[in-house]
Amino acid sequence: MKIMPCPLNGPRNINEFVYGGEVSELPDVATAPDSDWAEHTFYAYNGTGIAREWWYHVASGYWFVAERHRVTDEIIRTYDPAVLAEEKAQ
Amino acid sequence: MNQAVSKLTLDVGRRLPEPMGLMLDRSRTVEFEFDGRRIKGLKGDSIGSALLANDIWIWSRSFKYHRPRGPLTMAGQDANSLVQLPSEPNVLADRIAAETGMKVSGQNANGTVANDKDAYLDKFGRFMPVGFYYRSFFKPKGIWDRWEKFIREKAGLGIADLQFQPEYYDKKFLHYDVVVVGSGPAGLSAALKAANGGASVLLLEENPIAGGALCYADFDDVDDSLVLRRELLAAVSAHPAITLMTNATCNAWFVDNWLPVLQGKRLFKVRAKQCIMATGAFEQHVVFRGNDLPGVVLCSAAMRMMKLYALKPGQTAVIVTGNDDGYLTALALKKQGVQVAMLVDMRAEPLVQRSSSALKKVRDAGIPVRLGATVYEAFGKQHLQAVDVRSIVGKGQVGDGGETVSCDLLCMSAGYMPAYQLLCQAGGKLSYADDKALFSISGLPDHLHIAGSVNGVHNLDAVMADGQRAALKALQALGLLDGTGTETAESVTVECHRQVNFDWPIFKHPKGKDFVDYDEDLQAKDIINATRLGYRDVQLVKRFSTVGMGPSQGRHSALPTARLVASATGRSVTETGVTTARPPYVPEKLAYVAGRCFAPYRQTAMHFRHLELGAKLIPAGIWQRPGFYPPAGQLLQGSDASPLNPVARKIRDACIEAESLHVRSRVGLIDVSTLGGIELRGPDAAEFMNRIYTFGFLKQPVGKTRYAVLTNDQGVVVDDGVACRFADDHFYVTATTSGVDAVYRLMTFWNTQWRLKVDIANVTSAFAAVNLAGPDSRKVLKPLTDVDLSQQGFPYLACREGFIRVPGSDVQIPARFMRVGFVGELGYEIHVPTRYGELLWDVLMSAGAAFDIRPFGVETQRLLRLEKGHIIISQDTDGMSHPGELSLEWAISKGKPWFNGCRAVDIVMKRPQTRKLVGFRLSADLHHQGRKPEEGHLVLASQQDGAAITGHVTSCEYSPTVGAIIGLAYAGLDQVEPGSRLPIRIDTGDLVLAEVVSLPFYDPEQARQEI
Amino acid sequence: MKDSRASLPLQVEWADREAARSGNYRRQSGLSRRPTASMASVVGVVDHEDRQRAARAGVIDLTMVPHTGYRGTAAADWLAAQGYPLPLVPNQASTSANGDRILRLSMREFWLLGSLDDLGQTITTLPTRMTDTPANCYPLFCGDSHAWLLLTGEHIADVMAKLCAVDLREAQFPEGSIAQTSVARVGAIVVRQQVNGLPAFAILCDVNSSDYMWTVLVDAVQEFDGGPIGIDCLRSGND
Repeated sequence: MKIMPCPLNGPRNINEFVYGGEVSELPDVATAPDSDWAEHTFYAYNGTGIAREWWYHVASGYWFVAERHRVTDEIIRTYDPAVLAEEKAQ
Repeated sequence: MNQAVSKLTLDVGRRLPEPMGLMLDRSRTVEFEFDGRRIKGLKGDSIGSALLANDIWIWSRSFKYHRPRGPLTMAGQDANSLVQLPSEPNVLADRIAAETGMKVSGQNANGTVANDKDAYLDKFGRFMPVGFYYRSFFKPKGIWDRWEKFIREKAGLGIADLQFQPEYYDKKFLHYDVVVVGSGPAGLSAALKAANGGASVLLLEENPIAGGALCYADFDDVDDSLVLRRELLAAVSAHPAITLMTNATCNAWFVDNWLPVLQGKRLFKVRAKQCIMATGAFEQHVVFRGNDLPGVVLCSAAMRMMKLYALKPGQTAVIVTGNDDGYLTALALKKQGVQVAMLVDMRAEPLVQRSSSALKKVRDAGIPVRLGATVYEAFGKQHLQAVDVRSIVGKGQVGDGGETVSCDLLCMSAGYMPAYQLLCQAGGKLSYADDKALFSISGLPDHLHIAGSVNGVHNLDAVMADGQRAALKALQALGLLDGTGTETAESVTVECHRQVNFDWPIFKHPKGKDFVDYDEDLQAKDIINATRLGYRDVQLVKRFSTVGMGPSQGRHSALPTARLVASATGRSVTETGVTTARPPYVPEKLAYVAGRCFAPYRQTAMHFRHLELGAKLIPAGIWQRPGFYPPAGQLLQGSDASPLNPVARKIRDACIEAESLHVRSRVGLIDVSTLGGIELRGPDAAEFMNRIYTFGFLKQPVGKTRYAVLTNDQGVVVDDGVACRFADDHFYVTATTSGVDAVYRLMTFWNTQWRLKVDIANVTSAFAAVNLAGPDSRKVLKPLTDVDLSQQGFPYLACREGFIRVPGSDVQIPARFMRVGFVGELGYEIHVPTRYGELLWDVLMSAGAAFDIRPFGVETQRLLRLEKGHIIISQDTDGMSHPGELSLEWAISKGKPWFNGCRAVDIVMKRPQTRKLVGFRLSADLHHQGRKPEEGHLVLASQQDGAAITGHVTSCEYSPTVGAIIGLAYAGLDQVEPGSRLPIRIDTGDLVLAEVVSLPFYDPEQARQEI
Repeated sequence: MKDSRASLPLQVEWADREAARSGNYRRQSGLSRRPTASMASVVGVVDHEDRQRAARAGVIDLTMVPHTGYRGTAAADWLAAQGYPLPLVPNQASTSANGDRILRLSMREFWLLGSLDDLGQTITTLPTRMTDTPANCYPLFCGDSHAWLLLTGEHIADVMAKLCAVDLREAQFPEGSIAQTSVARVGAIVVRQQVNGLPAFAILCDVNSSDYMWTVLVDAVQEFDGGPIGIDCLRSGND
């Protein structure tokens, strides 16, 4: 059983969590062509490197972000999504 | 003969003197049965050691050839020792303690193992080559079905007891800084070092006593290993930070050191911050003809017989060895009164310096030694009688003309194979050093360490040092080495000077029976032939020949197989490798997994009222809900209640009919507490609703409800509910019973990014709810509340907050009311805090008594809503259902910039539609004939043979109100006009022709629900 | 697991007199009652061995002792203004002067468990409607949505080790610690407390699962000679 370090609850067995997909920007809802939406909806990146993912801790109803190595499956760091908002603001 | 045996049986005192017999309590005896014979042993005996004490060496018959088999390892590591208990097959005789009253029998024998009527199969061995079953029984088609029964009878293991009584097994979680697997000298020293360094330590030992090789082996660098064992164990048991578990098997390694440990009737799920595998090594056998005869054992097995059980393994012994351990065994046997007729060393001359001292000791003891020779064949029928000793003239080659040596015991040691299984599960890679003829393991995760003979270290002082080294690495990783000391893992010197493996202990015989894998009766030629048939990869060799697939899982066959395949295919042993080791390490009883299996259930606040009313409960997700309320005496349970039982169907249909007619004509009450509920509060609540659901919510008036449809990223309808607006900044929205958790998750997911000012709370459990429905519902409710219930004051689709009075008390239950049309009659959904749920039910049932109120169940509700043409998400929808297919275009707001799934909805609805959900009806006659379509039945394009499938039935019931069978089905776009005929293929294979009708089936003017 | 539901009484003598009922009150038939501040009651005494059982591994259903919660960016300030001592970090609990327990579940979410001495009297004075609290401080519904079970005694960590994957031993999970996790496959909040001198875990789970959770806990404490207890042995002045 893999351990997921939750920013709110600390290290927990990964079966306490639900995967929420990769952190990604939505295409512009008004202007993006259909093909961009299809790409966004159905195609996930399948290469190597670091993935930035949404994870949800079920018992506390808490969403956070995890950075995970796509090859080794190592979870490199996890943080509150406020960090994303700060990144956006910058 | 029999008399002599029974005399021996009673003689349990025929044991070697102490300190032999570490396991034994000589003051107590045990008595049990084996194949009908009475066996007497001592407390502490395994089943197997007690059998040996009674001169019983045949414990089982081999899998394929029914050859007699006996002890090989004495450590529960091979399949020869599998015996049958009445309620448990495949019990390891040399592992499981003998207990008084046991009834043990041998396995895989026609009769008894001593006298197996199927022993003739041994003579047919040459007709059963490798891959025999695969190659012989697949043609002509169907032949396998006839052969299978015979083969399963002849080849097989124990018998499962289908009358077994379930026992209580459970699970427990444990957490340690360091878990050490294996309590041999490496494990003991690692545990002590780690604990002294400040770590909490769990030390696991799969045997009944700790100590590993210190319990049974002799060492050339320690005079008395038992004294060393005693000292180490005393230190371990005195250490407060060490927990020692014996009889505890670590059965797998999972990511992040998650270790399942089996002990007794409990599965421990252990989390280790650091793990040290000190799992040891398996002594390897020599491959020669007859190497499976009872009396041919590993050196370590003979040592175990003596030192653990005080058994004299034979009268006259021969040793065949490729290392010094054979010399130590010879000396130990001699010391215990066994005549050692010859020590045969496969090495041309002792390769290591130390061996000369071992050689000298053995020669001094008067034991004849032959160097550069091997045992080429063992003779005997039921037991070993003599061996043929030949000189080795090349790799696997022996000279002509052997020396026959009489003996009743042959001890083998070809070297060691690290117990690599758990380590390879952790990603460890095996590589073979040709100079040492030994596999070693590398590439382990950071928090997993390795120590002792599994790490290729074989002299005792180095093994102990290696344990300390591993412990220091663990302490370093834990941050428990403060850096002030000079001691680090790197500072520990581990020097192993012993060569333990002989590089080619395989002597193929032209007449075979030179077993590589005892479990599967595989001989050297079988492995070679598999490669000749093209199965050159070791994984394919395994699948074709079944090598390593038996209960011993390659502990003894992996190494010779790797060598044979490498040699036959001209590759290195490293390239060849061994087959993948997967969990579990040893066979795991299903009870460990199934025991104390948590199966949560949820009950509403009114649950016990339903029980009192005799409700037939049905599962709805993990909820228990009343399906309907059968009359007294008609509540069927278990298999009687199966829909396949015509009586049960009849009761169900009658109940649903009566309950539905009652709701249509009088008043009914249903518990809808399982409905999901989400509370949305805050200044941005309306904006948030607007972004999540498809409809527009910004302008929804306070006091009104609105239908809320949720689509996903793909534009598929995934949930629906009713949104009540109780204030500008306060919505309460229902969701489907099974969907609410996902809806809540989706809502919080989006608001984590949107950061709107809204509080989202899943209040499903906070509210108990009922639907009071039927023409008389207003009359029932009126005296109970101050809420204006008039058509003008509280119209259809309105919602209100208020109270329910409890007659005869001053209690007022706070309540939310909404007028909904799900079942199509005048009705009120009433939601109250859960604590008052049962009281609400009581108040309504007693106030309704004057109107003949009766409860109705969820099955009845499904019929009522079907009559109204309302869909149930996930019953009438699937993973492709977009709003157009469900005729929900009206519920999609066109004028807003965004809702969840909006672009996908646009895109899928622009594409040519292929199907649509429609209503259909059929004559009631079909219902009475039992030919009603069922959910999932196919809708076809036409009545022609081979017509295309255009859809399927999603809901179908007989409606007493409509007087016909009614249903919903997906149909092709050319079939959806009212009046069209839908061909539906029913269970019998017949086609029935349903008429497409417009929805709803009942009260199309919606007059009844809006009064 | 043995299913004891079949043997539950259908009528419980006192239940009809009380407006509010817990999810598993049927299991409390024939036992003395103590009224709480919520038109309901909890078990007073199971038998004369309550105290010994509580010291080993006792289980009690406290769902009917008032409990509530508040959430929002203004919740911390508002609660502090009501005089509640708030833990500084999430997943920590504190105790007010009168014995109410304050559970900080996140930076902006707080749950309050009524004191076993005033049986929730103080809690019932707090507002339950959003119109009675400041903006961005929303009353929660946990008083109804969540059952409150209490596990007491020296074996609590061993009992929970059979049900929960989180290490709840005192060294790793000292008094005042909170774990939001899964207990016997049901989402739950576990709080380590001292209750009348006894180590205890408050376990808050979905109220509709309370009969299940009760069955699981009572089964798990058998190994330690534990079982159901009444509230009397847990109130100060009664030890």
